[in-house]
Order: sequence, then C-alpha cells, then structure tokens
Amino acid sequence: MTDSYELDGITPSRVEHPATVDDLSVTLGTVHSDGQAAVLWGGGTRMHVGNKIARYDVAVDMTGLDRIVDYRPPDLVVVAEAGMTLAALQAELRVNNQRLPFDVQSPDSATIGGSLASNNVGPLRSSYGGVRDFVIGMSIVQADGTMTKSGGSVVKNVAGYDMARLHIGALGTLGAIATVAFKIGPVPQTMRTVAAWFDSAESAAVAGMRITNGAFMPEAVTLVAGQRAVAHATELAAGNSGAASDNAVMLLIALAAGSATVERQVNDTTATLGAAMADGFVVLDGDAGYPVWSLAGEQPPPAPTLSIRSTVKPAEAFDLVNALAAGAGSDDIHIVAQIGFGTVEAHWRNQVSPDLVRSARDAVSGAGGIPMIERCPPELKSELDVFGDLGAPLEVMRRLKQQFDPKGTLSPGRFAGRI
Amino acid sequence: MGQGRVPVNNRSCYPRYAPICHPEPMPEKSPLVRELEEVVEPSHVVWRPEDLLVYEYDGSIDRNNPGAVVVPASAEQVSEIIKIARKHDVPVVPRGAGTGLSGGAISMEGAIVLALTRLNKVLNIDKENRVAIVEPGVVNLELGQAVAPYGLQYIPDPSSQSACTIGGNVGENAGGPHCLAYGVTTNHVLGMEVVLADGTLTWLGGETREVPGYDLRGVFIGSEGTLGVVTKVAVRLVPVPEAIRTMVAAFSSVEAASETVADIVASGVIPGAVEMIDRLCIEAVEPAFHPGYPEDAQAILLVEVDGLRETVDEQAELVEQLCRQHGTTDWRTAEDEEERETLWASRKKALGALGRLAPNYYLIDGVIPPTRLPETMSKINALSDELGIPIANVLHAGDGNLHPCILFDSRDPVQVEKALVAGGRILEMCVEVGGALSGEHGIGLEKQGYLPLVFTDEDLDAMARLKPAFGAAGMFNPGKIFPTDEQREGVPHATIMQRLTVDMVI
Repeated sequence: MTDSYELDGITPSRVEHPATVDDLSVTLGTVHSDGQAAVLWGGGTRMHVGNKIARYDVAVDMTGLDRIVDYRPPDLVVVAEAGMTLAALQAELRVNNQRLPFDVQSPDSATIGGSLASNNVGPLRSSYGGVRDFVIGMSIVQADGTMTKSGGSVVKNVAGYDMARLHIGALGTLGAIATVAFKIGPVPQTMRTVAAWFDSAESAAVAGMRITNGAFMPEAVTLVAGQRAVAHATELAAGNSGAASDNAVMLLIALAAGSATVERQVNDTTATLGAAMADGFVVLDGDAGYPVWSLAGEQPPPAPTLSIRSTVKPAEAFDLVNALAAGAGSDDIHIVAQIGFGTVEAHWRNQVSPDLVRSARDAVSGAGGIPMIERCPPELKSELDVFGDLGAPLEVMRRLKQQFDPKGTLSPGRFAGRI
Repeated sequence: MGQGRVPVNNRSCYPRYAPICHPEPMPEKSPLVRELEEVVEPSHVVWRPEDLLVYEYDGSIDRNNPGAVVVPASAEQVSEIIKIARKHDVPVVPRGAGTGLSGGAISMEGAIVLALTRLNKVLNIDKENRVAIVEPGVVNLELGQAVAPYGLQYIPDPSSQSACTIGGNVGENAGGPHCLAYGVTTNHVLGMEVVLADGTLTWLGGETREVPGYDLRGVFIGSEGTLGVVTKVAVRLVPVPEAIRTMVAAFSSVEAASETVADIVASGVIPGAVEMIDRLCIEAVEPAFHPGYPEDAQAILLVEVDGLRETVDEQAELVEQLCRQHGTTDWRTAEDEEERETLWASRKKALGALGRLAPNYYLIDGVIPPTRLPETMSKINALSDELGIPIANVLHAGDGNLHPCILFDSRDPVQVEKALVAGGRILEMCVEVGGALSGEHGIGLEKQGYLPLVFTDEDLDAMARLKPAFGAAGMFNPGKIFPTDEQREGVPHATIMQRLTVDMVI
C-alpha cells in the first residue's frame, strides 16, 4: 500500500488521501505539529525530479482533489483542484471548444498541481510560454495547514505579490498547491503538423530558426534527435518513397489557426523546409499528427537512466543538441528541444558514468545554460546537487524555505541546495 | 505587519510653502548625504528641502517629501548606495519616471528616493533570440523605437508609455491595451539584474526563458519596489505582425457596447486590443485629437486585430458582425497608419484630455469578469447619478479592466469626499462580482486599505514573508501594499478620505 509511494529508497509510514481542501489543511496541520515530513503526490510521473529527500514519513496523495471549482467559458477562466489530471481538465474544456494552451508529458496521469510544481512541459511552450504564463490565481495550503490564496479569477490582477509564482517549479517544498485559476483560450479551428527530417542538426537548425523567427508564430517547433528520431524518420521516409539518413534529425512544427491562415502557414513552412534542404517532410491533419508528437512526449519503457534538462537561448539550442549528440553515451540518446523556448531535454539509457555526467553538464554550461539533472541513479543523487550551481539567488531560496516551511514539513532536502 | 508606518495624516516632512514664507536656518548636509556624495557626484544628490519638492509627487493623488534623492549612473553605484542606506538604517524607494498611479514612488518614513533615470541605455538587442537587455530607466516607447528596425516589438504598452520606464513597468507589472492577447509585463520579462538589501548584485531569471530554482523573477515583478532595485532587464521581443487592423464602432449605449465586448471575448477571437471610451471621454478627446467620433455616440469601441493577413481578415469580419448584431451606429476601419495613430492617441491620451472637463480626476483601476461588464457599467452610471459627480470611463474592456475617472475639483471638500466614496464603491463592485482591486496600477498607498476586502490576514501574512526572504524587511519602499493595523480592522474609506482631504484641501 505505501510501497507505491516510495521515493529515493524511503517508504512512508502512512498515506493520506485528502478529498477536499479542508482535509488537506487538516492533514498538513497534523504532519506539521507531529514534526513529521510529507511528500505531495499527484500522478507520480515526475517524482524523479529533485534532490534526494532527507526525511519522509507521510505521502499525501492529492488525486482526490479532482474537481472543477468554477468554470466560466465566456470569461475564459477555469478554476480547478490540483489533483485533477490535465487530460480530465482538457476534456471538460473541450466541451466548450476551449483548451488550456499548454501540454504536459503523460497528461492522462499528470495532475495540475504536479505539472505546475515540477514545471512539466510540452511542445506548446515554444509559442505560448511556460505553464506559469496561464496561472492567474492559486490557493495554497501552507506547511502548517494554513489556507492562503493569491491572485484571483480574472485575467489581469496585480493586487499584492504574485505568490503563485513561488509554487510553480517548487516541487511542493513551499506549500501545497490546492486550487489553480487558469486563463484559457479557444481550440484553434484548424491544426496541422509538419514533420520534416534532415541529415544533420545543422541543416535542421537553419530551417528551425527561420521558421521560429518568421512572420508567424507556429504553435510549436520541436527538434528531436537520437535513435528514436532516426527510426521515426526512416519510417516516415519509407511511407513517402524516400530515405532518411543514419543521423536523421526530425523537426516537428505545429500550426494552428483559422483554415485560411493555416493553409498559408503550411505553404510557407514547406517552402522554408525545401530551401533549407530538408531530406523530406509530411503534412499531417489534426489528430493524425499525434503519433509523431509522441516522439516529443514521454519515453517508452525502460525509463532512461539519466535525464538532463536545460534552457538556453534558442539559437544556442542547436549547438547544444550537436554537442550532446556527439558526446559520451550518444549511442543511446534521445533529445527533445523546444526551439522557441530554448528548452533542451536529453535522455540516456546507458550506464551512467561520471564521464557521461561531466560531458553532458559541460555541453550545457558551454551553451550558456544551467544543467538540471532531472533523473539519475540513486548513488549519484546522494553525491551531487541536481539543480547545479544557482549562485547568489540560492541564498534567497534558502530564506524562502525558512520563511514558508521552517520545520521542514514539505519534502525536506528535495529542492536546490538540499533545502 | 509591524512595519512601523507613519500615521497617514502626518506625512509631510516639510510644509510645502514654508521655505518661501518663513525662511528657516540654512539646512546642513547630514552624514548620510555626505556619504552618498562620495559615491555619486554631488550634483546628483538632492537634499535641500526646496529641491526635494520636485520628488514629492508621482502620478497618484498622494504626495510626501523624501529624505534625499540620489541619481546613480551605474548598477555598482546603486549597490553602494544601498549599503550606505542600510548602514544608516534609512529605507530606499526606487523611482522611474514617477508616472505610477497608486503612490508607488512616493517616499514614506524619510526614505531616500533612488531615481534610476540616468540608467537609460538599451544595452543589447539580440535579433536572433528576440531578447533585449535594457537599463531600468529606458522609456517604454523608446524601447519600442529601438527594436522596431529589427522588425520586433515589446508588447506591454501602458498609456503612459511615452514617459514611463521599463524598471517602473517591472515594479508594477504594468499592462496596457495590447495585454489582452499577449499578457502583461511578467509574461514579457525573462530576467532582471537586481540589487538586494545587502547590496548584492545578482540576476533573477536571465536571458533564457527559464532557470532552475524558485521563480524569484516572478515574485519580484509587480512587487512595487519593496524587494530590491532593478538595474538591468532582459525583455522578450516578438515580431511585428504582418497585418494590423484598427476598427472603431460607435454605440448608442454603454450597455450595448459592453455586451458586444462580452460576446467578442466569448466568441474565442482574442483581438490584440478591445478598448472602450464613453460619452464623457468622447467629449474630452474629440476637440483635443479630432478622431472623428460620431457626435451622438454614447460609447466607442476601439478594436485592433493583428497577425497574418488571413487571420486579420477572419477576425475583423467576426468583430464587425458582432458589432452590427449589437446595433453599432457607426462602423469604420482605420484607412492608414496615420488614422490608426490618431485613434490610438485619442485612447491613450484620453486621461490628459479630461482636464478639459474638470480640474482633477481620480482614476480607478479595477478588474471584473468581462461577462459582468454590462451590469457593472450600468451600476457605475447609476453611482455617478446618485452622487451627482461625473465619472468618465476608459477601459481595457476585453479583459474587464475598468478605468473609471471620477471628475472633481479638489478645492471643494464636498466633491473630494464624493470622489473618494465613488472610488471605494467602484472597487467594492469589482470585488462583489469576483474581480480584482487592481489590473495594472498596483496597490501602493492608494489601495492598501482595500486589500482586506479580498485577502485574509493569513493571505497577507504569507505575502509579508517575502520581504525577510529577500532580506528586505523595512529596507525598500516602506509603508506600501500592506494595510496598516487600522486598515486591517476595516473602514478603508475613512482612512483614505482623512488622508486625501487633509492633503488636497491645503
């Protein structure tokens, strides 16, 4: 029962399943006054992110908080509880032809709270920004059980500090996200995917930057490199009576707008691809694009042994992809780069050696990014700070933890600087 | 809070006309001023009472004299100044152009004003990555002009953009008409170099779109200068749209215009901007800018759509259709860039033009859900009738951001009182329909008394913990945002009225 909530080799002594925000408040209040430590669980899809936890007594399973609290389609606002999955929320919005314009990995199990807390990202961030850009209000249960809120449920609000920002990407170490108010938007009338393959990251880079910096903003421009990209390109090329190179790199472009606009975007995009010497491309309608986007989503089992995420300037992303693809362990690597945003995620399945880690971190630092190790073997996690060197701001982060969770009730040790 | 705030009705350090009427002994430089003069040339340290008067105001109705004003020329000087201020236990208020409307740049508790106007360079424009690095004193419009040759633009465009600075925009999380589709300052600032309370110079966020760790950038933006001083800003730029169409629709009632807006938002088309001005504003701007609005219009909608040509055609058609369904009495599209600029000038400078109608105005900033626009606009009109005080409305209608301007004459205490009552009642209306106390102007001094309408003591206490976390307890812009103990008890009207009446009727 508690085994499935194991984290970093520690199994909690009990699991709580709050069904309401009030329950959550009581639960955390008890954990806090008992001097115990709690870990908040959403869908459990990104629990590998973070430093090794220092203490862990109680798992708080948030998935019972799965309701829509308020949904006003004409105001473009929805407020939902944190334990609701992204897929369930999107399904509700879809009824009114609306959506939350960001996507996450594993949407069927990833929860709203977990996705925000772990900065779960998908390709849409290329044009729409991070998950943080859609949050307009949040209610938080503090480490001692106190219920608080910030922001509100209108799309523009600058009354008081924007506290919600603190909890986005905080891995639940400053408070428990209880409900979230989002700004939502319409589902675009027409959606197309252009999937292209190139014989090198350089040629993909030329096309990728031209498309990213062109007259229109595609919904997403995602580069995929590594063995899975090669296999996929080969399959698409064969279906298109062509061939893909052994070093094939794929560029996925999502286009979404009114039909006349999308038609023109497709023409402009394919012309750019031709000029940039793509080896080939296909244009996929609406839902037909899903399989190719799964390349940019979650990995099929077995899970990678090492995953590093970093965000660099868009133009540096290609050099970083090249450096990673040429570095140690590249015989089993999978790289996904959200070009417009500059986020590069690299996954390895090789045995993790100090050399591999060093070479990967050097590549990221060389491109001007801060390497965040999202997944690595337990022995490595004990040795290093997976957040990397955050410099002077780390001191402010320490004091934030001290202010909001002085007793270390929420995932102690898990955040940057092992706070 | 325990922030040790000076009582509100006791704020003037110096009687404003005293130096002229009753000459005082020659003032002497304090040790603090002498130390500041070792860091910044003495010509950029202001300390004589009569000189400080220039910094008594910002764009709000509040005023108070600073302890001193210092105008540094570099981030390093800012850091040195902070260290000196800390040594003397004197707080610091960062100031941009002073166009803020909620008293954010007013010095309380004898704080030193740190005017950042000399830090006014655009340091770098990176076309490929669409990022610019600017100093905080760069004027919003000048940033726009600097990046235009690259085919890029910076989205947030407050109406004061020809004067307000990027640093001030960061402090207030400024908005503007074009934030409907594209978001406010926090969505367009990637990072800032800041000086913290101990003088540390560091980046929060950076030139990339994300850095690991807590989002310190995100909480700093909109913190109204209470957590530190911004010395550089990395802004996100976007391509200038291929096509823009600016349209004007006239309506015979504010309600019809409001219903049109609610329908446009609900239709799923998100125009670049949807602005409304009402009869009183039309009367003010027509003789000032000659935008050519129909004489009998009770409300005008200014709608702009932008993007690819095809998108613009599609959206413009839908907007026109909705306006016609709601009985627009006059419809036109700007023929050229000149006409477009005239239309926008009429909107963005509407507040200035109100000077034609009354000596003073009190501009309210509140937000409501767009579907509640029709009823709320009716209520504001009814309130104006009830109190017998004119209220002109300019609003970022698409996102429900109201800007009622209460017109009054500050020489008449009865009118002052009515203006304050009206302002309070409008904010209460916003809160009642699930809205917010401020969409873009901030809380500052103006609205701290109203925060308890929306936030509990627990909410406010959580916010207050940010200051010690940034090491900034009492150091930066004291006496702002957080309600005083009396204000927490309630009666925001009474305290605000007391403060304003005392000041304004002098």
